[in-house]
Amino acid sequence: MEKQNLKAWLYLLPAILFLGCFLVYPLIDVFIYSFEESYNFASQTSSGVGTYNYSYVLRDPYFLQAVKNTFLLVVITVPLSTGLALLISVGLSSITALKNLFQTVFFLPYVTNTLAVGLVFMILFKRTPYTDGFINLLLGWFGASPVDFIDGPYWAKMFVLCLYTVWVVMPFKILILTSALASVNRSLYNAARVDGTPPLRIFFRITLPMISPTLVYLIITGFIGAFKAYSDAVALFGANLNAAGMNTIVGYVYDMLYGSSGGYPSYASAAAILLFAIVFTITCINLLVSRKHVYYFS
Amino acid sequence: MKVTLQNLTKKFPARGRKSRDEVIAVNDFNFEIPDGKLVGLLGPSGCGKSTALNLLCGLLKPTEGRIYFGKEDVTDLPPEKRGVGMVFQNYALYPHLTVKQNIQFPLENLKGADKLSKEEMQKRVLEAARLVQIDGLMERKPSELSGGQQQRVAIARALVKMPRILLMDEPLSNLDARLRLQTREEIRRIQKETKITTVFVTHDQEEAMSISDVIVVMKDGVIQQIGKPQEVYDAPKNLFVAKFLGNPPINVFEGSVRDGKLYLGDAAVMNLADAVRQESASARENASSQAGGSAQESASSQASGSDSANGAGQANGTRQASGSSQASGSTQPGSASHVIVGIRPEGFLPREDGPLVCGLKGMEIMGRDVSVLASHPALEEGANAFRAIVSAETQVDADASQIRFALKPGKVFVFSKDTEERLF
Repeated sequence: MEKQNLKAWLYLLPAILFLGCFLVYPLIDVFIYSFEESYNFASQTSSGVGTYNYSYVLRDPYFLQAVKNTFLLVVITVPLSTGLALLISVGLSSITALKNLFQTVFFLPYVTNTLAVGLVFMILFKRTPYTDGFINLLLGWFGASPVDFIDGPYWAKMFVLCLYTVWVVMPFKILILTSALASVNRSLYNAARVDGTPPLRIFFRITLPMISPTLVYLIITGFIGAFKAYSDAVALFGANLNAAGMNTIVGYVYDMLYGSSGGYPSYASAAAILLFAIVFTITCINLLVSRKHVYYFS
Repeated sequence: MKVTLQNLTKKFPARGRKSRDEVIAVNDFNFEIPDGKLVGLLGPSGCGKSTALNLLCGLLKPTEGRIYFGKEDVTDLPPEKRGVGMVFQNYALYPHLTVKQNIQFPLENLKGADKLSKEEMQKRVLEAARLVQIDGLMERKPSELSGGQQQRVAIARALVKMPRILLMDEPLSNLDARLRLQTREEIRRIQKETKITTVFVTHDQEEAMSISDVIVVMKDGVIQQIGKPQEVYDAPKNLFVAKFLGNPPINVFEGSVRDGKLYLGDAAVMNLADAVRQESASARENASSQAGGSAQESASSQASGSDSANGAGQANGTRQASGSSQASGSTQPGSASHVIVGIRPEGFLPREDGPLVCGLKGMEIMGRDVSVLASHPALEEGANAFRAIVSAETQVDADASQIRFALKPGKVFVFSKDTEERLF
């Protein structure tokens, strides 16, 4: 038994060392930085210890804008992308012809570069002096006046960001959900059919509970991923997100560290810790809520 | 509810590049299941018995043929409109629902005029649960139940909507030996109590024989024989049925028929004329119980008989089996025809002067009776010993190198070597 334990620890050692060096130590360091006021990397000095960093960040309008943007993004895209992915997966698993083709088509965004996709979205949505963009062309057919989705009003920019995010995160969810759906025991459906269960009831009473662990996994990782959004916004609106009013929390942290106004590791750390606190809380709530409604197979 | 199958056929299209042949899982089924009986569909795996069940259930559509429940043609009805209850091989219980919710599930689907009030549902669920004796486990999840209990829940769920027909796919195959014995009696009891026409599928002949009113023996999608278990056991129509029923299995020898006598090797072991006289009663009964089939069958085997080199023996056999009262007189003297001989293990009588001289290979004492392993040169190829079950009172000298048997007439079957149809 002792020997077995030793062996197990030996196997785990590389991972533990790696994670300790590059994850746990920096995390603790960030936590410490966040309480050290006006820390300077070059001189490795700070003017004192306290909660000033937090109160500064929480009062910074750029941070508040970033929090608002991030929350909107999370609240809109996570349910939307998961719901759509579920719908598409159910559709995919109930067709036989062309199933593989559609599966490939739906998975393509996953293997496409984020920035390239961003560029495509820019071309679709951006208004320039020469053209209104493809989407505005479409809108024009329905009699709507053109909107600048990239440099225009806030709601338009938010719309593009959300659409883009949904589009990018959906393929992975579809992939996971189709395999979850395929793993549901066929004889349960046969039993339900013999019992005359209407399709919608089959979906809600059998399919959904059976794939609920996968759904919860997708929702939790979806929340975490959306809270950490940054590159998507950059791909659409460029590096100066504060000017565009489309910054995210991670973007704020980045700006505080390296941006043109950068060089404030203490503020960056405080913001990062705040983000961690938010994600941690939301994940806990998710797990607590799901525990009641999810059936895990023993 | 009487169930009638008419020319029921199910073909599956060929799959893959290698096999271009379509698979005929169910080939021209014609039979009638009487109301309130327990019918066992019996056959080796891959013989189409589960397909037949799924056709009855409506999960599969037949390629040809009709299915009637009573007088109603249900061939084109979807499963939910047929009023069938199905117990699946792996039970197919909804793992996230409790026992009670599982049993109640079919009732919640009822709509319109059939819709039940909450109290009524409760009552029906409890009734079904009591019937299978799981009313103490209502709040458990399936994963917290033993295999036997899960099986009972599955039966209760199938029964709760009061189906016209109950269908069971290998109901006992997932249970251990002891539970299997118990559960099969349980199924019999429930069937008797509810008087519901029940069809179940099994590959275990013992299971089918022990509880069925009627068994249907199948092979490669074709019905081999239909009848009461004892009748089928006592009068198998062909070698396959004879081999498939019975445990320990029937012993197969190669023999010949000459001058109305059955020879194993050089020894005349039985006078067929006597045997036929003794058996003709049961054979006739068997023939009349399948009125349509037997005429067809005797016609076909007569045709094949005249083609073959051993025409005399076969034609004779056909006449005998189809119940003609002419005895052995028509056998041409001197001409021998080669046949396959099946002898049930209990068909051997140890006799000092018995005509069948065998080498004694071993004995197994089972208490109630003794299993004798013996060898004989006429055994079918590949077999080196046969098994005889004899009464424990019979004194058998275990050290002897040789043992002699007389044969019980009703336990010896003679089959054509070409068609494997039974001649005597």
